[in-house]
Amino acid sequence: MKRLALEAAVFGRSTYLQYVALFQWANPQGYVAYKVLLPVTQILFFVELGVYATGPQNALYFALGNALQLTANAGIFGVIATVANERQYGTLPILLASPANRMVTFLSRAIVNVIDGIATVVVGLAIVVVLFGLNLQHANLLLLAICVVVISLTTAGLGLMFGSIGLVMRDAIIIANIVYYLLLIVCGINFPVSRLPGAVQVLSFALPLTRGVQAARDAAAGASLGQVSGLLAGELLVGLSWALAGYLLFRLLENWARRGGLQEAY
Amino acid sequence: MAAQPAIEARQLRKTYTTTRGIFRRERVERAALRGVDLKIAPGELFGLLGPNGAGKTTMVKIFTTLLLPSSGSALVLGLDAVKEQWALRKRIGFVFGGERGLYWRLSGIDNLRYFADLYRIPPDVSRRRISELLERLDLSGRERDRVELYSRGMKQRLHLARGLLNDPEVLFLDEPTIGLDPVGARELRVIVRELADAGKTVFLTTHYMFEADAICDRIAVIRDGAIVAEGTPSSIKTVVRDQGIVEFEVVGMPVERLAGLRRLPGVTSVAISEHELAQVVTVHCARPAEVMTQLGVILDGINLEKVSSREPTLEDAYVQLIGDSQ
Repeated sequence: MKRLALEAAVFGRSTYLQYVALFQWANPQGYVAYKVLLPVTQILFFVELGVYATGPQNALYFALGNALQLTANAGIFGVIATVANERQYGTLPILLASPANRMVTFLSRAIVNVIDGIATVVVGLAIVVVLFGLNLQHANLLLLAICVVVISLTTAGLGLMFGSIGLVMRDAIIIANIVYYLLLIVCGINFPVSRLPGAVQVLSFALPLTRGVQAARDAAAGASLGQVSGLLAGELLVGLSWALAGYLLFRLLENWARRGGLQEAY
Repeated sequence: MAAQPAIEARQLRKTYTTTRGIFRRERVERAALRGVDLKIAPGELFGLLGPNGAGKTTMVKIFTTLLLPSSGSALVLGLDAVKEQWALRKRIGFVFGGERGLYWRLSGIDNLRYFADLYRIPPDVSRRRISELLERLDLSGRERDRVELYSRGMKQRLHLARGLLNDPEVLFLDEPTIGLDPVGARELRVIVRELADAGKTVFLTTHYMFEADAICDRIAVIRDGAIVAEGTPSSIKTVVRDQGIVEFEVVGMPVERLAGLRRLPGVTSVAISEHELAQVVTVHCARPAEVMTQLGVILDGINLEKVSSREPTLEDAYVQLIGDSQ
């Protein structure tokens, strides 16, 4: 038990240090700009666009969807940036030549970003309540909170998948941008998935957020856990699958990088 | 040589394959190591000398498990760097020269704590060792400052502290003094020598001759991926035992004028280096007196200054082994 507590303490410390070392918006001003101003801008943009296209009755649909999608800020950008920054700082070879447990290293990349993702969504929801009058009086708040935790976990799972590519690719942050905007388009954030072409819907349901955002919308409308448990289970399964695929890719690319000495290219 | 070398390379080869072109992709192969054989005894401070691109860093990367060789084997402490990398990584340390490889936003002590966690060093051991290393490498008192506030010398000492965290039996240092001021470089050399005296095997790459001459027990010279000489610094100097060196300075001389010098009998190499506004020409030759008398004829019309003849040094031996250079 004592050993387990010690291991957890070491894991916690190295996770925190790694986050401080690699997080690119570490100072308070940068954090506010990235975590408050950017969400406000994104939500305003899509709500205005949505209202212009479909009418004011749908404002909350766009506002809520975009507030929830903000978790990808941490889950996708944050996770991918950790590997990209290791490469930029020249610390990747040291990490890869160490005997560190790869699974632990891999998971520690995601964990603080999951917490950060939850914080970002809370900021986003607060903005929606204040600016767009989202009424949560009838919402199942506990379930909504569970949904936020679940989508933060699953987007980080997808982030781990693409973060692995940073082992061999110097411009992994471009991938982060592509994935982030793809999620905006296909995951039911700004319009229902049912409006997408059939083939794209397959992609939608293979990505995190799609089921989780639907579950969160239902929770905001007062649904019970039983009503959305299928959606949440599916969301978790998708996130876990991406994280597992990401881990396998990480190990595969680690060996590939060893073959070509690619860890130092930046 | 002990029964089991601390470091051993057997016919070690590495060829990098890259592609170029967008529409018509073309594979380009470049041999970085061409069948290197090397044995380094435990406790030895071994220097690998060579110009940029000779294969020094490639060799360090293979021994430190970061790179797979194309063929041959690399053994450290009897462990195969390719197949037994997990066992090997716990027992070696490595330091690459330059400022990268540290987390600049973290303090020096947090960098060491993080890297100690990567090596799964128990917390009580890690606390004691970090404190000792900070003291030994003269970083005490500044350990809580962010690394971005450190001088280059401090960063390099922090690199070395990081490389020693796991108390490695073998330490690889890839051009550790590059970019350091003379005092910082000398301090680092003293520390490296002390580490070897304390029983650690040290594999040092450098292109500073005096550095190798000053601290290494044995050295090897690598050129184009192949070892061209190996031995103690004094045995390497015997390469140029029967030779002398003629040096002189000129200003604004076309390099083509050196062709006549190269054709003189007994001349083995002619090197030219820039020194402020002047060019310093170094001629390796069997009969220095004869070369000196011919200088005026071959370089007719050019104002020669500081013409001198001297005994060869390790650097001269290196230049001789590497061939004519700039």
